[in-house]
Amino acid sequence: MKTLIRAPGLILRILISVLLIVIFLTPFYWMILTAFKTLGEVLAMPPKFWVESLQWQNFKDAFTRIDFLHYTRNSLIITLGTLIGQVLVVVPAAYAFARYDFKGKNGLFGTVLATMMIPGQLIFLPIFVMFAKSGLLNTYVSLIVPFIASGTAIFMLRQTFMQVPDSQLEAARLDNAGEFKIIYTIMMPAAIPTLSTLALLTFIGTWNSYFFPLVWTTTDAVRTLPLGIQRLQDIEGLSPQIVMAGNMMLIVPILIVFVVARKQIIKAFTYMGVK
Amino acid sequence: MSMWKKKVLPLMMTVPVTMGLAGCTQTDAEVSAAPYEKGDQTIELQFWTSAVEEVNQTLVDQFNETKGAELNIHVNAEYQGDYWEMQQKVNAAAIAGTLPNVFVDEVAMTKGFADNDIIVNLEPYIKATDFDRSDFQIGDLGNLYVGEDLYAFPHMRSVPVMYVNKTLAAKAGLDANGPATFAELEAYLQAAHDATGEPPMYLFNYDFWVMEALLHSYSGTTVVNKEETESNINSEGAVKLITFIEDLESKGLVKVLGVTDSDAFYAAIAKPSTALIFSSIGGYKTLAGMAQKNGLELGVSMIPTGEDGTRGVPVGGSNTYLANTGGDQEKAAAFEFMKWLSDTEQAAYASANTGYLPTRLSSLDTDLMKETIAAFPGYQVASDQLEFSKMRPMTGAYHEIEDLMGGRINEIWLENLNIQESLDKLAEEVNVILNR
Repeated sequence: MKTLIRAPGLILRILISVLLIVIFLTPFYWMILTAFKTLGEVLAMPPKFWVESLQWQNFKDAFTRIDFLHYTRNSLIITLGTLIGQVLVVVPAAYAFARYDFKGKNGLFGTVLATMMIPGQLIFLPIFVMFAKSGLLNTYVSLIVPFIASGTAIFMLRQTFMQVPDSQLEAARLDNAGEFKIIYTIMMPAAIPTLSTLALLTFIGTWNSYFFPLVWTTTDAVRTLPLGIQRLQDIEGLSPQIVMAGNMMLIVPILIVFVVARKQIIKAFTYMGVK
Repeated sequence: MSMWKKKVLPLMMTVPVTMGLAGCTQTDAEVSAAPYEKGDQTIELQFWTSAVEEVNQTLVDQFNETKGAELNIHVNAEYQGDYWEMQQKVNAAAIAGTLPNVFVDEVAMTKGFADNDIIVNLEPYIKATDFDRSDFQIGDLGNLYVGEDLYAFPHMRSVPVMYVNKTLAAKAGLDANGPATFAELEAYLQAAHDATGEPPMYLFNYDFWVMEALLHSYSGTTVVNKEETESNINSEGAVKLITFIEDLESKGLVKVLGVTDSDAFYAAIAKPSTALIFSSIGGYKTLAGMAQKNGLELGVSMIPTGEDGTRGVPVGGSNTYLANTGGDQEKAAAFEFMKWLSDTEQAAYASANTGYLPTRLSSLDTDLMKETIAAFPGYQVASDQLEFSKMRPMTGAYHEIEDLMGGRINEIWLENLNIQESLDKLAEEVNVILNR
């Protein structure tokens, strides 16, 4: 009887879930489908929801029409550089805000939070001018350094560090553990889900970033893969199937990282949610 | 992001440029320039390109191997994105002091760049080198000038044309050249619709210069007044045009597409049921190729005429600009490159490999252009249409204005808004931008 009463609600939940899945997956399906179509199939009206034969040539074209490896290498260097830089800056900063009392702490933390509310578009010009004046335009530094001190990451990590019991830190200090050791052996292991989530968010944000690499570069030297894919449009004219093949190759690393880190991410959000 | 990129950013970039550079506007017309003199050292020039990158790169390579080697000038081409991305980057570079020597950008931006002292008046260089500009007589050249002074060279030139599906026209017993007047347009579209049961025409209003052509031709009016202080978008002629298109849309004869539907618009070319579209001649070779792949023959005709035989088409595409950077010798070298790039053979090459029109009369006499026109007769139609060409608005805020108008006018059609009221409101918004 209970099951019957609950059935309509269950069915509704399933229907909503299916609907959400369809909404989220349709753009991906369309991208994949387009990447494997011929131009004729792409332009066909009414649109076709399947392909006659898979056009692997589109991937070859996307790979060869731009210097794909060059752009990929730049994307990797900038993404990994940003990730490493964030660990070096964000972890100690979050630890200090979570575990130390010092003069001006609240004001400084407020400043960190305020940076989260400033749109990047407002500050890109002064930063561009600063890099131009210091000769750092078209270098990896100009695309890594501005994103290292992430306010969001400092905030999220501080919240996690605050949840580590004081007794654990006191015990470590009694064992003569230094601050570096405490961060490395106690704080970071306790924050692995949060760190994984932040790493994934940073990876996605940096890997997909289009605006800043566009406006802060004037040569191809350090331009990233999203700019390369955009360039396909100019080179290829009206060839959405090749651009979509490029887009598919662009998102592969993100999917891999997501699959690897998904358990930690779910854990992080669950953990933070409960608290 | 899109709104930021298209509307807010150009504004944000323009304000500091204007503030920073206000008061130091050049009076180059009174300044003399020395002609380039070859030195022992090779002069390195930066050339920022936009659109049809491969053609630009090929031309730069040719320059470096020939004229550049002879003059000890070496040009480095760097692609910067589309016209609007280029505008943002040029404005940012002007503030940071990292302008390239020469750059390509859309024709309507000349005055904005000149007003902000980003580009150099070319008159002194023309005088110093006895450069003959009379060959640049293809279409209205207004967008090269600020006042009486030449500030740009034409690079790629295009006009809106009417593409006609000749295959459908033959099947439906219609004129293969499409309707000659707007009065004939409805009957033409109705016949095509009767033959297929599908919309026979697609309109992508976000390519706003097509609307400029319709305003000129159908209504005999313009987007803004001559002084560029007031919008004409709520004028009687403009209201009549918007009403006319709404009427066609309500009858299923025109399908208006939204801002994200550019691919769908171009895809319409490949549909057997599409009789007509208005679009740039710059895409001619691509569109003709697409149509051919789908077994269709694509013709090119002039934009239809209005009631009194009026016809007007804006001349779009790109110019090359000499940036206000570097010493006298560097600027003179950059001018040499601009001259070479705009010369007869190079203009013909750029045209034959894109769909854009050659920028010199003499280019039409080259073998390359003769062969191209023989294979693609639409080039000739577009060239002939230049007789009716008009310059685009010159205000530095025009891109913001055309974005606004494209969106608002589409809302009128797609949401069936009151036309006069909506256009009055739109005109007010445009006037604010014009007088900001």
